[in-house]
Amino acid sequence: MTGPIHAPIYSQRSSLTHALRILRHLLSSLYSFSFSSALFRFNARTFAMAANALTGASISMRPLLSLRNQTPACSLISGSSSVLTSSFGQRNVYFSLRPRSIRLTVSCAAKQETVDKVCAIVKKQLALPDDSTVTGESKFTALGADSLDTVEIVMGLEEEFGISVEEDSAQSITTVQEAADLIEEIIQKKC
Amino acid sequence: MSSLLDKARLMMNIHCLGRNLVTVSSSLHHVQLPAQKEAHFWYVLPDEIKDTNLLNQYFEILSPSEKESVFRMSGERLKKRAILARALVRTTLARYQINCQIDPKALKFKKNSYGKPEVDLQYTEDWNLPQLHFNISHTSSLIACGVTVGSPIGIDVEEKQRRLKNDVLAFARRYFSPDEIEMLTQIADPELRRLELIKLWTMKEAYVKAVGKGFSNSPFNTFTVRLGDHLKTSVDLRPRVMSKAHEITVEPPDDSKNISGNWQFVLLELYGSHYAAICIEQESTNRGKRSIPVNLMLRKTIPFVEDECIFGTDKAVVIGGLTTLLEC
Repeated sequence: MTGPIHAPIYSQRSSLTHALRILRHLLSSLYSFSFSSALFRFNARTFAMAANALTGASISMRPLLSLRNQTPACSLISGSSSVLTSSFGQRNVYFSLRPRSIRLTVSCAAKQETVDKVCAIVKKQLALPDDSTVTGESKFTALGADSLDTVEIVMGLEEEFGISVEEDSAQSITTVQEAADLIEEIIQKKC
Repeated sequence: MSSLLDKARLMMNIHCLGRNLVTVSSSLHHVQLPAQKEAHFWYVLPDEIKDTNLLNQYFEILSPSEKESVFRMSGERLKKRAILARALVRTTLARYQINCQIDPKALKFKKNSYGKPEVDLQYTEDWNLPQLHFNISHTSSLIACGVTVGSPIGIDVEEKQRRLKNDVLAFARRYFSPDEIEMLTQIADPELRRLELIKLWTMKEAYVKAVGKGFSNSPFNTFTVRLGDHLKTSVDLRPRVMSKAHEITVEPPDDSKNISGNWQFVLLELYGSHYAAICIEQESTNRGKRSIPVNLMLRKTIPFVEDECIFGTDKAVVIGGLTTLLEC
């Protein structure tokens, strides 16, 4: 008795309003189902569009009951990963749209000033000419650093920035950018 | 019975030929495997290799990812060094074939859970490859590869002339153990102190690479390497011992989380310009008893061109560790 739910045509409106419209549509379809043995199918695409539109907001679906032939229930996960699954066979599906504040997990890269200082220290350690190309992406080994150079670079960074670098952190840095990021992380923790 | 063996050998050879591309230029001198307490030390001198055709040959035997790594090196010198290092490893390991020609290009490598490179023997059951362990180290003027059978090995090479950007004692205080700092502090002459530091560094580095668990699991300041200058009471008088070697010991940290083996060191001076440290694990049954010297075979090589056995010359001098240099 149920047919797939088709999403309205995607418009230029704000993602959130659009997603809300889809959900309202879904909800109204839901309520019109009989609660006997009807299987309840979502159009996966509908959900996908809703998911994409709702990056940051979260929808939690809590199935209250489950049918005898229960097919695996899934949940819509918020956040930047649009992992989407559709839910089948739930007799009563309860939607609660709780818009949370949009969680942006962007790890800010180190300041350019820090990167430049690291570049200078690396150039000095490896005796590279001033005009040589050393950027954030530069890998220490590609610049010719061996393990002794790397530990000396770490020492130089500790002196320059007044920090102390743990052995396992020191081992994990392979590029200028990683060194700069680590330095800023350590500095922030100090404060 | 013998026909069965012949059949098996024939099958193995056919298998090998089937899998390998026999390259026209593969003139790698076959070598006997290292024995149980033996290490082989092969090295190239990059300055001796100038022929671009030869370098191209070396480049060709590299895997795609190794080739990519070479391209990522900045500058011709570093690219050449990267090519030579990988070519040295591949050609060296390929020499130890038992039944059939191994194409150096066909060797595959993997990393252990700590990132130490190893030979991937998964696909080589037909070849009957032995449990080869290897480790490489390079400086701008010397690239070395150490090989053993059945024992982890770590090597490190440094130029004696290497200048630290930091003060020697400041460096030692940052990275070395208290006993080592103490030892270095007691050396008055700054040049000698610097040389001692380089020696210590190579030995410590070789040790950590031999243990193979990464530097963060064996921080340098948690173990002490001593290059003792006392002679052992029972001196090994075998005629081929090159020198009354100073014994090298490593003292484990208090928590001893790494130290389960019996590690032996060799410290060499090559051409008067390089220190090379080799660290291998001896059988633990020897612990506590008189140490058995490490048997060491040294070879300078230009892969596909020539090999030179280093024995009885002053090109290589043992300056630490109980060692017997072998004739090739």
